[in-house]
Amino acid sequence: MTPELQIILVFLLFLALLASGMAVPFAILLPGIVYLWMQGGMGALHGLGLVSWGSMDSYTLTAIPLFVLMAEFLQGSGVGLRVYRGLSKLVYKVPGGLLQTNIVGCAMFAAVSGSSIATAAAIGKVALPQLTARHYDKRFASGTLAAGGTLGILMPPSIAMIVYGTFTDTSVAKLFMAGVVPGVILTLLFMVYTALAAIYRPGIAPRDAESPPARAILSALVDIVPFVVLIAAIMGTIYSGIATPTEAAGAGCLFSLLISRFLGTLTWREFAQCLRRSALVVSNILFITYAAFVFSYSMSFAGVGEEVTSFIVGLHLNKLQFFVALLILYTVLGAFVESLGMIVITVPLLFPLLGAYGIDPVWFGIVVVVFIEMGQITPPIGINLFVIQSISRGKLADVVLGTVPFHLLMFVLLAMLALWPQLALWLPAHVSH
Amino acid sequence: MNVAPEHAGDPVVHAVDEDEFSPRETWLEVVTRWVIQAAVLLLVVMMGVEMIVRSLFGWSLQVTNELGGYALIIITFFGLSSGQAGHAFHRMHLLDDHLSPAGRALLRLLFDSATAVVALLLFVEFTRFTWITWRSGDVAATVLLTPLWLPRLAMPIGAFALSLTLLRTIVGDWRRLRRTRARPTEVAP
Repeated sequence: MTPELQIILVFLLFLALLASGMAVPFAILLPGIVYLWMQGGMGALHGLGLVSWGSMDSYTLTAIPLFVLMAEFLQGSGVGLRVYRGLSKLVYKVPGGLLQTNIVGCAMFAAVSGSSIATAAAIGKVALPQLTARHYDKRFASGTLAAGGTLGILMPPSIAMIVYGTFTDTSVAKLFMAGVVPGVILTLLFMVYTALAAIYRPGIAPRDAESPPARAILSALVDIVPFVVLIAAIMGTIYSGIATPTEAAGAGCLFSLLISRFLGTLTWREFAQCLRRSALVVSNILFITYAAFVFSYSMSFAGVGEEVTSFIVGLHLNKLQFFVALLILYTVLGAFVESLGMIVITVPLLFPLLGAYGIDPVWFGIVVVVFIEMGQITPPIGINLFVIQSISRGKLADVVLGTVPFHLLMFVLLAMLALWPQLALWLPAHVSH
Repeated sequence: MNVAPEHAGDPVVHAVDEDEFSPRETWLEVVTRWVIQAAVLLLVVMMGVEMIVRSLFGWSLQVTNELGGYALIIITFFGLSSGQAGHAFHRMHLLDDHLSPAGRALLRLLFDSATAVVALLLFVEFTRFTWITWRSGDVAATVLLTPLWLPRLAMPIGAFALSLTLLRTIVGDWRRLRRTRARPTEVAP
C-alpha cells in the first residue's frame, strides 16, 4: 500500500468512525494508533508513553479545567440568570429587545466560559422560555442563541485557543488578546443585523409596552457589575502581565466562587454538583486533546506534515489563493468534523506552511477559531444547533435557518481579518510580559 | 446528533446514550472522579495563591508549573473512566435513525470492543513507560526533585480504570444486543 493511500485510508477511517457514532476522542485516537502501527509496528507504539507524558504534562493546558469550573460556578449558582435579566433591562431601547440580550449575554458569558456549548446552553436555557412567552420569532431567536453561543470560543478565554496555542507553541496570552477585537466586532455585527431586522420586521421582536423603571435599571447594574469586573480582572491581569492565563483562571475561579456565594445561590450541594459537572466536561475536552496529540504524533512520525507542506508550496499559491483554499477546506470540514477535531487534523499539517506565506501564527489561530465557530452552526453536526434545538424543543430546520444570516456575518468577519490582519494583531502586539 | 432536553448543554450532553444496560457509576469511577475534583481544587488554590503572592510580595511558590503539569496528567487520565461511565464523551448520532435497534446495539458493541482494545494497549504501554522510569530513577529537574515514576503512575492507573469501565460497558452492550434480538421493539437506545 502506498503512503498516500495509507493516509487517505486513515482519514476516511477517522471520518467514518466519527460519523457512525464512535465517541469523538476514540474516533481520533484509534486511527492515530492504527496509522502509527502501520508506519513503525510495535516499535512505534512504544513511543506512546513518552508522547502521552510529553503532551499532557502541560502547564498551559491547566487553564482549561479552571475556566470550565469558573463557568460552572456562575451558571450553577444562577448568576448567569441574573446577568441575563439585568442585560434585558439595559438593552431595552435597542431594537431587537431580548434578541440583543441574547447576543450580549452570549458575548459576556463567552468572556468567562471559554466554550461555545456552555455559552449557548447557559444563555439558551435562560432565554428561550422568556422569548417564547413574549412571542418572539422562534427562528430568529434560535439563530441568535446558536450563533451567539459560538462567541464562546472567540471571546477570550477560549478553550480552542488554549489547545491551538499548545499545539503550535503560540502564546496563549497573545491569542486571547487577538480574539478580543474580532470578538467585539462579531458581536457588533450580530447586534447591528438584529437591530436592522427588528426595525424592518417588527414582528420578530415585539416590544414591551412599558419601559423598566429607573430603580430596575439600577438593580440591573448591580447584577451585571460583578460579572464585568470578573471579565475585566481576568483579561486585565493577563494583558498587564500580572498573571499567566492559568493563574488568571485560578484567581477567576476564586472570585467567581465569591460572586456565586454572595450574589447567587451557591450551596454546598450545588458546589459539589458544579465540581462533578466540570469534571465530566473536562474529561471530555482533555481526552479529545490527548487523542489529538497522539493523532498528530502519528502524522509527524510518518512525515506527513513535511509532504503536505512541500505539496502545497509546490502549487505556488499566492497568499489570497491560500486563504481561499483554507476557506473552502474549513467550510467543508466544518460540516463534518467537530471543533477540536478540526484543530487536530488541520493545524499540525497547515502550521508549517505559515512561514512560507508569511502568515502570523496568532492571526492564523484567530482565523481557525472563526472557522470552528462556523462549523459549530453548520449542519449536519454543528453542535450548537442541537443544543438550542434540544432546549427549545422546536424544529432543527428553524434553528438552522435562523443561523444562516449569522453564518454570512462570520464570512464578513473573515474577509475583514484577511483585509486587515491588524484587527487581530494590534492588541497582542501590546501585551505586556 | 441527539441531545436530551434536560441534558442540553450539560457536561453529560450525551446522557441520551444511557439506558438500562449502561454501566452505572461504581466506586471505581466515583474515586477517580473525586481525585480529579481534588486536583482541580488544588489547582485553583495553587494558582490563586501564586498570583497573589507574586503580585503583592514579589516572590513565587516556584512549584506551580511542575505541580500544575502533574495535576493535568492526573485529571486527564483519571478522567477517562468517570467520563466513560458518565457518558461525557461526545458522539455523533448521524447513523442512529437509519439503523434498527439491533443494528445500533451491534454497532455500540463493536465500537466499545475496539475502544477497549485501545485502552488495554495504552495500559500496557503506560505500564512499560512507568516501569522504565522507575528503574532508571529519573527525577524532575526542579526544586522538588520529584521521582518521575510517581506522577507517571497516573497514566497506567487511568488506562486500567478505563479498561475496567469499558469491559463493564461491553457486558452491557452484549446484554442489549441479546435483548434487541429477542424482543426487537422494546429497546430503543
